[in-house]
Amino acid sequence: MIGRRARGIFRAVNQNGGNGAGAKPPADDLILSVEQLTISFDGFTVLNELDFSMKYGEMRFLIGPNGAGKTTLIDAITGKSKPDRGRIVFDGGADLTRQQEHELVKLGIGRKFQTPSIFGSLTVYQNLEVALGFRSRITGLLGGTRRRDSDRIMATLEEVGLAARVGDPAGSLSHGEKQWLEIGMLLVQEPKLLLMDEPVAGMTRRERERTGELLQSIGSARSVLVVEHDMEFVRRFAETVTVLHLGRVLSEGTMETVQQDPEVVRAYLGHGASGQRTVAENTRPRAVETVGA
Amino acid sequence: MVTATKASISRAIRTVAGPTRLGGVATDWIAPALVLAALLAAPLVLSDFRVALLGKFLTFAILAMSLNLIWGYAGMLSLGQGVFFGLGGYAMAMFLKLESVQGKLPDFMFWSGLTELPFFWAPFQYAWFAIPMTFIVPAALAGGLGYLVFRSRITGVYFALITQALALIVSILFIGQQPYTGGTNGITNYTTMFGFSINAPSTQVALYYATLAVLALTYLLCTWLIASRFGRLLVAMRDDENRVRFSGYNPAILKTIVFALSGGIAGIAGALFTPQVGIISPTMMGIVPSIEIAIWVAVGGRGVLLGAIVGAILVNGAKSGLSESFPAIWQYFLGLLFIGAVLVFPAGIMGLLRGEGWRRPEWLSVQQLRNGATRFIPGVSK
Repeated sequence: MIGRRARGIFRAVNQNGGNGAGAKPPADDLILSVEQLTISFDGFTVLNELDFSMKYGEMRFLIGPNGAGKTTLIDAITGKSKPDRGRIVFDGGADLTRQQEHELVKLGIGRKFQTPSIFGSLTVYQNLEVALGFRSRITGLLGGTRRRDSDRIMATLEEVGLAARVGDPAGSLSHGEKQWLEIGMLLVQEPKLLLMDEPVAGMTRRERERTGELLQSIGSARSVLVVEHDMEFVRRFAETVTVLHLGRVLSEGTMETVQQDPEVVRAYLGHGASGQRTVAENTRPRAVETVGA
Repeated sequence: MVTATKASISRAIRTVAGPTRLGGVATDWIAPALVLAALLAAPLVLSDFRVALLGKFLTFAILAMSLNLIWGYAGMLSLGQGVFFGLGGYAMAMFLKLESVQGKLPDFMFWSGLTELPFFWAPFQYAWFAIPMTFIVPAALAGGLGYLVFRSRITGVYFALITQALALIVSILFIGQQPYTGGTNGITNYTTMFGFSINAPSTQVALYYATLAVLALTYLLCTWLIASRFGRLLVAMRDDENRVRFSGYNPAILKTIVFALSGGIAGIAGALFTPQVGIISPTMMGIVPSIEIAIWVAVGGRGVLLGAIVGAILVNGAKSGLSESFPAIWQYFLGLLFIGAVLVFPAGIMGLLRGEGWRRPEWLSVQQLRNGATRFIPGVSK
């Protein structure tokens, strides 16, 4: 009896991503390891001793109710928010919580913002050109773009499906195309870890589908962390899902596993206070739907 | 299919070589060539007085170009550009004054009770020191201030306010330090420059052509800079500074570099102003002249290099014409011109020439008027 309960607790700890102090997995196969990360704004704790890790080549989806700390976690990894406590180790290097945003990009961490963040008065080509020059010295930027770089820009534009719009001002692109352009700007930098904050927000159904396929092809070559609210999209494209709630990891596993986790259901229900349609209802698989393997 | 589109793609890349939406051979090369030809011929047809006046306007054109570089392209509205102009002007004035007094103490120092030349004045008797300083001093001030401001991620209207405060502080400082700066009167009464009588018409024409040469060189320098990847980064920072940061660049460094360069160019303009006008005083460094510079650029056309030149010459030409004809109310015309540039032709005169200035008939709507002032001034819109 006691033994079973103890096992239950032990499993819960494991599902929480190793919240206990000694549960740190070996570091050599981890591209990202967030340890005991705490961030608070004006006394409100957004991330609470969060432990989170990702393996090389992994594609992970991050979900959770509003205010769970998803974007704050991405902010912390990209240097936008400075934590009160805790460490973030990337690619076997040193703690990166004290480094500036642009230095982290040079280490190989690329970030896509929720709203498309591109240079509207430059052409599509020039947007990628600017992104590609990020390792050049200032003096190198005074020259033109080399042939090799130009080929790489075109290859990336083919990959994100914008080759036909190469000479158009980026400001004239549709919302979905701008999102792809931003993804292209990240890809051309060949990051080791790609962080995407709601990449399909505001997209049409077809654009979502295309973006999902793009994510899968990107994910085959590098580690990707995606924050997403659209549960249908997550079900369709996610392999591993991490659920954040109140600044901690609540559950981790396949979409099916986390959906059946009573903790997760409670967390989502707790937020939809007055019997309205909750995210938990959205997360429940529909009978007609086929979940990809 | 990929190879079939290769040719059209490379064609597309070549046709979009320009840094912004503003393209066009006519305004990029033919118009500057026409302006240059007119300015080259001007001394042949104009009176000495008008040539001197035009020479002064050309220094303003260089100054306007320095602002256009940071405001029109990088989206930073500096309302302290007059300070850098003034510092360059003072550095040149110190050289001219020391040449004029022939080893004696400058008159205003004597009146203020100084008995010997201050140590920091002494090197300015040498042209090899004074002339580089007209660039280095303002560039260093702009770079130093810029780094502190940009490192703290101060942008938009706050940057404009800080530079405006700089204009106020420096002009008050120069007024207060009479023994070293000549106070309110500034530094004046030069007799010779490199041994030539400074008021002789031939010297003035030589100075005019020197200014024109510097203007042309500055134009070429800026054209080259804007067309480079560095120039695209400037435009990129105007569009979305955060994306530049998250693309792996440090915007603080990039902005500091271009702000220092802009300050240095403004300083050279000031150095050319002083010998042609015969005086430099704190009034050139105050808040009002610094705002006027922004008007020249807005009227001429932000983000077009030639726009700043055209704006500076036309606005100053109109100013001297109007102040002769309507001494009491000419400033209202200037105000109307600025309001017009903001609301009616936001792309400036160059925008009108390119046929894109009147394309906003919706500006008359209340919402547009409410948004107008900030909407069309990128440096202030955030």
